[in-house]
Amino acid sequence: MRRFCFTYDLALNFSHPVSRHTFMLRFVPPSDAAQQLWGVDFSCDPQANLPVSRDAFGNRLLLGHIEETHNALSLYVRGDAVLRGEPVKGDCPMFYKMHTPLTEPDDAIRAMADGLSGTTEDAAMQAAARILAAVPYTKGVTSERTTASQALAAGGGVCQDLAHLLISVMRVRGVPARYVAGLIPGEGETHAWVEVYDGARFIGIDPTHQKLVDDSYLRVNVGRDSRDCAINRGLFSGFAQQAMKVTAKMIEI
Amino acid sequence: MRDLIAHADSINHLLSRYGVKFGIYKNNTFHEQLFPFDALPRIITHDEFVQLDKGLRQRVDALNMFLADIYHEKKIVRDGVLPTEFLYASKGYLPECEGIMPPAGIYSHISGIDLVQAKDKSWYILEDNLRIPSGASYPLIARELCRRASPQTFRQNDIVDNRNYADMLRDMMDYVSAPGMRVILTPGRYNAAYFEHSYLAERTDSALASNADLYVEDNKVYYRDYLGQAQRVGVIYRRLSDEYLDPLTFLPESLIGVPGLMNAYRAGNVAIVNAPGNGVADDKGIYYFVPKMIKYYLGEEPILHNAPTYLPFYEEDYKYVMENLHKLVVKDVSEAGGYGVVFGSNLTSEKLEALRETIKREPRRFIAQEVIDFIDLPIMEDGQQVPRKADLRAFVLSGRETRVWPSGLTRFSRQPDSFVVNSSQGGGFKDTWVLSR
Repeated sequence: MRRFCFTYDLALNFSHPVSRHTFMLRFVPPSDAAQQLWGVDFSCDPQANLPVSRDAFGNRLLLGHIEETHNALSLYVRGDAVLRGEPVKGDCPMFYKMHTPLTEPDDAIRAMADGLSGTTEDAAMQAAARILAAVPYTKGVTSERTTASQALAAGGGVCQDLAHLLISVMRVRGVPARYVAGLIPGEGETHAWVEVYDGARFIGIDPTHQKLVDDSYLRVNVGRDSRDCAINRGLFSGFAQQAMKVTAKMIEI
Repeated sequence: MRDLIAHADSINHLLSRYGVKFGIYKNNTFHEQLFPFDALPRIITHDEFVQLDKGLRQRVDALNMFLADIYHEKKIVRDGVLPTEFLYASKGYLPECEGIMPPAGIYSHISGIDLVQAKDKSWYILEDNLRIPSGASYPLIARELCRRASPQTFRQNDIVDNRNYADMLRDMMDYVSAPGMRVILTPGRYNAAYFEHSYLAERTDSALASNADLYVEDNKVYYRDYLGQAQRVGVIYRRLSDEYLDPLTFLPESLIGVPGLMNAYRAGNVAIVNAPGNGVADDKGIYYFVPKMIKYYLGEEPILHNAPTYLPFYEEDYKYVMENLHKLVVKDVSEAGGYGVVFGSNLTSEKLEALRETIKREPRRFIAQEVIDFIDLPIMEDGQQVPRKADLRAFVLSGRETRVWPSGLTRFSRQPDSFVVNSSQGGGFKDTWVLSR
């Protein structure tokens, strides 16, 4: 069990004023058996109401609207968390067994799913090792729209690609798997990993670091793939270029 | 009747003047086409309509119960009535809609049920349209013009007045509405049914809005009126498909949706007509299971029958389909509007073989049906009556109660020997008379 303090800072700057801006921030980490949250606080500049809303995957999110023109938008979240690193027990919606366009397997992924053995956890760890060997962590090779099969063909990718590949391989084997967006200790961007369902529990596996999820992982969102877990999404009206800067931080206290 | 025939040309002329058209995209350009009107009505007798009315209400009630079940407990899957594969492989099933209970618990507010009548006079359901069934405005406006052209026809025959469609629609919208105004959301004038959007908005006293007129704040939907004032919206009859509805939930590249709409909807602050996610119940593969749903949810025998349908997914059906492909009609479950429909009898042996291979590769993607030899209706062509294949789209509205509109859209094929009647495939339409005795 470890205690952390986290912050998430999103800054959007527009080259020209924009208006009618609707934005969503999916950064309300849940409290459950694996993690306990308190002191969670949000702010937004320019000022806007941020009602909490839910999505179909059980995530909470904030939804804001700014009608007036503005040149910048910043969103800030902070909170404290006690992390236990235990798999969460519960029922698993069947849709986590179904592929999405981002996890759709090809022959190469199907081949990777062959010959894995042992428990769900063992098989997932073996798959993660195969995936990292074939797709070493490399920045700049893939984009946020890269599919699992494209990342495998490219031979390089980031945590999102490795997670999609592991999900794809496990679903090929008929194991329900979901994408997790969250934080690990340090400063920088958000992290992504996978949870596989063994019939009773969601077991977290981090293919990027080749390890089981422990008490240093804060889960923020879950979904079928990275698209369901998008932390921020928005639409505005105006002819403007947008520059986005995200700083996520989690430090032990 | 002779009166109506004499006026057919002027009615068609007026239809074109009023812009009663539908648009189609061909080779990336947009064309507006007239929907040719034939003056000879389809006549449904009183007794026939009583049966249809009962059967349609039963079917739509079961479909609504199915949708509530699918997006919540999924008992029908757990009880083994519907195989899991069929649910999750259906393109119309949207996990984004899991757990949403729409206002008043109604998912399919406007159901367009396509039927044909066989030569022995029995009716068969061809398909259910529970997403955005269009077409009610065509017979509505045609009836209006026919009454003007020949008032005595409607005095001399016992025809049920069908001009209440807009009132039925408005009652239903008010029944399911959250606090706020009525809005019809259109993707714009390049949509195939734009005429209908504007016509129904006028008739139901709803605002005809495009996405730029709407926004979501505090989990509620607002309409910006012409003065820039915001007004709360309670119900949206949307005429754009699910994937474009909310770019924050569905396709991020959608420029015709309302960002945040799904959150307002999930919070119960707005009704969406019809509910997003309904595609799971009108999927051509799910169609096979509708009679089973009626038994499962209502404990009743289906009053209206499906056309005999085979699912190549089941081994037994697969064999039958492979052996009898030459006399079956095969439908791609992911297509609509008469696309992806192939009659085995029209194929050369090579093409038949190719189709066999495709079905073998993706059995879940197809259904096969016996070709129903449905009755021909007479239409006027160059002053002569000629027989043509025709179907009927019945409109069922679910609000406080489930009601069948005593009329419908009768579409016919203009080609002799063709069974495809869709307007996008060049068909025409007729008025549909329901007799009051």
